[in-house]
Amino acid sequence: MARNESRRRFLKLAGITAGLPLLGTRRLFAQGGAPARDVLVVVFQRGGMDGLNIVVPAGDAAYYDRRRTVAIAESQVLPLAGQARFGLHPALAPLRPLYAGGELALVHAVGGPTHSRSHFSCQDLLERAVFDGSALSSGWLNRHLAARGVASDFQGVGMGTAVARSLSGPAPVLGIATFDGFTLHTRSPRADALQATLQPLTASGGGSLAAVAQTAFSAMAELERADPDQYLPANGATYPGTPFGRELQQIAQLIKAGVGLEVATVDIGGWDHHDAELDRLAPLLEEFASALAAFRIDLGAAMNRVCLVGMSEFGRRVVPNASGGTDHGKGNCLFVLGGGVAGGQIVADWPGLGEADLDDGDLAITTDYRVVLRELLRKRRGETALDQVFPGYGDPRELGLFRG
Amino acid sequence: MQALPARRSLLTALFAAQAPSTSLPPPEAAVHLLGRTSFGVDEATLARVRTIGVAAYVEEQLHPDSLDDSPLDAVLAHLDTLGLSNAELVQRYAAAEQGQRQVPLRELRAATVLRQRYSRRQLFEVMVEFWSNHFNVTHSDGRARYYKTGDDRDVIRPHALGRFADLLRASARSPAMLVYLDNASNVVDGPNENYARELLELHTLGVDGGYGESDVKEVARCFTGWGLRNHEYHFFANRHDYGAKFVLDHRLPANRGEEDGEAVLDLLAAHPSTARHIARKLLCRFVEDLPADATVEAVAAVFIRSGGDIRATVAAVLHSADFRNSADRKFRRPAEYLTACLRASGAVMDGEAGLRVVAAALTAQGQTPLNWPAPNGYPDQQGYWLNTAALLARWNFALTLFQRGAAAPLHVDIAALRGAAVTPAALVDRLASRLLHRPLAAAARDLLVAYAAAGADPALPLATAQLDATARELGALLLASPYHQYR
Repeated sequence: MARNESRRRFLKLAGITAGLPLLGTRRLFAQGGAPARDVLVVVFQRGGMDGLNIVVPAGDAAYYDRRRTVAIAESQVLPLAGQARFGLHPALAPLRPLYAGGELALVHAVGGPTHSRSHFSCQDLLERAVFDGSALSSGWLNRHLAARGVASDFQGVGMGTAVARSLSGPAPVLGIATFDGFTLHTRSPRADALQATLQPLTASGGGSLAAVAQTAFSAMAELERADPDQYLPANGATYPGTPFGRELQQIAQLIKAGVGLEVATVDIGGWDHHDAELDRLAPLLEEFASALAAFRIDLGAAMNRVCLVGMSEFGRRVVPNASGGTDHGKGNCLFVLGGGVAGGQIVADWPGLGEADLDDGDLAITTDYRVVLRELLRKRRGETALDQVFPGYGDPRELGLFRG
Repeated sequence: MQALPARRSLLTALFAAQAPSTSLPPPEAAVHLLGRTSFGVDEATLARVRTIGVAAYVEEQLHPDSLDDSPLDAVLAHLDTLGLSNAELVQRYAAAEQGQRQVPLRELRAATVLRQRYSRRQLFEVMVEFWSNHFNVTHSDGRARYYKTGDDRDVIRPHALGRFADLLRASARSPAMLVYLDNASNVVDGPNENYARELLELHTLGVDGGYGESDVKEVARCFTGWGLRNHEYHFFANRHDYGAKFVLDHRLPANRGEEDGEAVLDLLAAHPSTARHIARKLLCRFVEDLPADATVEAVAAVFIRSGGDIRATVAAVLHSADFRNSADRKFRRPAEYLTACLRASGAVMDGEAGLRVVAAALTAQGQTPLNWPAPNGYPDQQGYWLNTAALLARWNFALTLFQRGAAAPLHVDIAALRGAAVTPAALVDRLASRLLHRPLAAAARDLLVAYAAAGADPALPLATAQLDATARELGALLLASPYHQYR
């Protein structure tokens, strides 16, 4: 069905299906059209990205001593103003202007408090942000949304065919794969009646399925009204034609469409480089960096109210294996990008790469990743219930990574 | 900083269904059994279960060689690459032009879809999917696009209902696994831990199975030298670490070669943590997202007593009281949903074009056959798969399936499906019986009858011109309904 046709149909139905959420959403944007808080975008780089070859400690001689064949050559490392120890992997060139412009900051030797080196345990722990052994199953972003109270069907959006663990939990959130897929594809001349039957039918079994189905109908109507397809990339932004590029573009479209987006998650996988790392890391980093740069260019002034975090489940072993790759490690780097970021700095309590400095062969973790997220939520999202979002974690330190 | 080991129970808690999830009228025992042991209920199979009874049907399915699958085999015979050796596949396709290079991958994907849709050995195909996923090798990853054909044919299928130890040994030597988890380049001077870690965490003991980081490193040393020569397994004696090793409190003496890896596989196959891990996963596949600990122990005991006999262990799962009482506790994954739609509706899947439609839908819903991108395999818990995008994709798949005309490569023969029913009430009853094979709640039935009647008397025949269109829309509504979302 043509989108126009379906939009007309949904406009007609809008008063019935989603009138109240719409009013609530609009009220949020009533003053000057800008939300009171940053939209938070969390990019999870699944597979364990090699932070040592991304934010490269080229000024630390031990890096070249230990990384040997899997090091980024000194001549290739992109220098950063005022940085003696660290430079960037050359494929991160699209991010250098954002660093120079004070919108991108990097954190190093960061991670979660676990000795696990399992992808699946570490992703689970970091995304739930629960390290005290409790069975709390919700993700940290979901608890943050729950603490704020529901403002919009679009408060939390997981891009792709599954919603990230960090965003999952009792607070209702959306999964969106494509905008075109988020509408009913029917050619029926009785489309309205068909939908009016499908909606109660899908709710008739009760349980989680019924709740998700009803959220889908309500959000479908709102999306038809907001029509995010009208917001093409602006300012000459060009996203990579990959799932990650498309999904980041869709997040920008939702931001511009003013649907009440508060938190979005998006994944980019493929970082588990046990072999041929140098060949495999460069194109992936290029995709990651060019997508982030496009996102920033696309959003223009709206970036003042957007904050993006890029993180992974663990870093990689300092000494490479004989396959030209690296095995699972610990400490890693982390990206924060946004108008409210105190950018142009690399924050690291650098533990060093000497034999005695390493944690069982790995870069030690000197900064708990929750230090970063906690400051972000407090300063840029107005979160006061930090104990609920990060249970059992009370460290009040902040790194000065965010304004506000 | 405190550090606690990740707990399996925590890992699974989030993605599990919150509670026995629905208030739908339950299906009869035969339908429940087929929902779990097949890729979807179809008329012919259901008739068979009703005729011979649940117990006899399970026994029959547990011995798939006794079931004639020749019509399917005749179709599969057209997929030339399924029978080729690794060397032949690489020689013929790796250097071919772009489109040709994809042929082995496309054909194995097609075979997987066709088998799940048409095979009479449905439980066997369920187990093939289970083990393919357990010993996951991402199909599109490097050389796996050629080697996976042999992995499916020579590793997974021969042992899917056999002995776990044999399956584990075959997987350890599978060229697809050797390249996917990098053991092919695991050598004494710089061991690669990738296979060792996933062998312990995913293939055998489970993440809480009682191993540590030093076990990972030691197991990696044991498998140094296990590699590939001419695209097949080969032990390279000169790449092996001949020192003594210490694995799970067992000392493996120095100066042994291939026997180190063999010893590790034997140790792991017989380990009680492996029995529990496999039991829990089988119960998660067949019963519920978070199986009861007591049932896990009971099934693990069968696994141990039978020497890791998969057939005996699956039988124990299917005969458990938990199995009988678990209706609607397993949310279908996308591939199960799609295939169940096709099996229930008897959809005509016409040649390559029909397969392409199905493959595109599977990819759009996040479950391309054999292609989960990480070593742990596709998740099998409701919390992972149930979200708004997933439901919209299912509703649209059902709507589109029934909208297509007879010329489309994938379509439903609506006249055959609706049979002689002509009144709205009869249409709803006939289609619900054919597509869902389970009773509708009165409210749901009323809703559908009212839709079909469109304001007219539901006891009066529909106009001939309206009959098929109404049947198509009812069919889509039924497959989109909650009644079709659980296996």
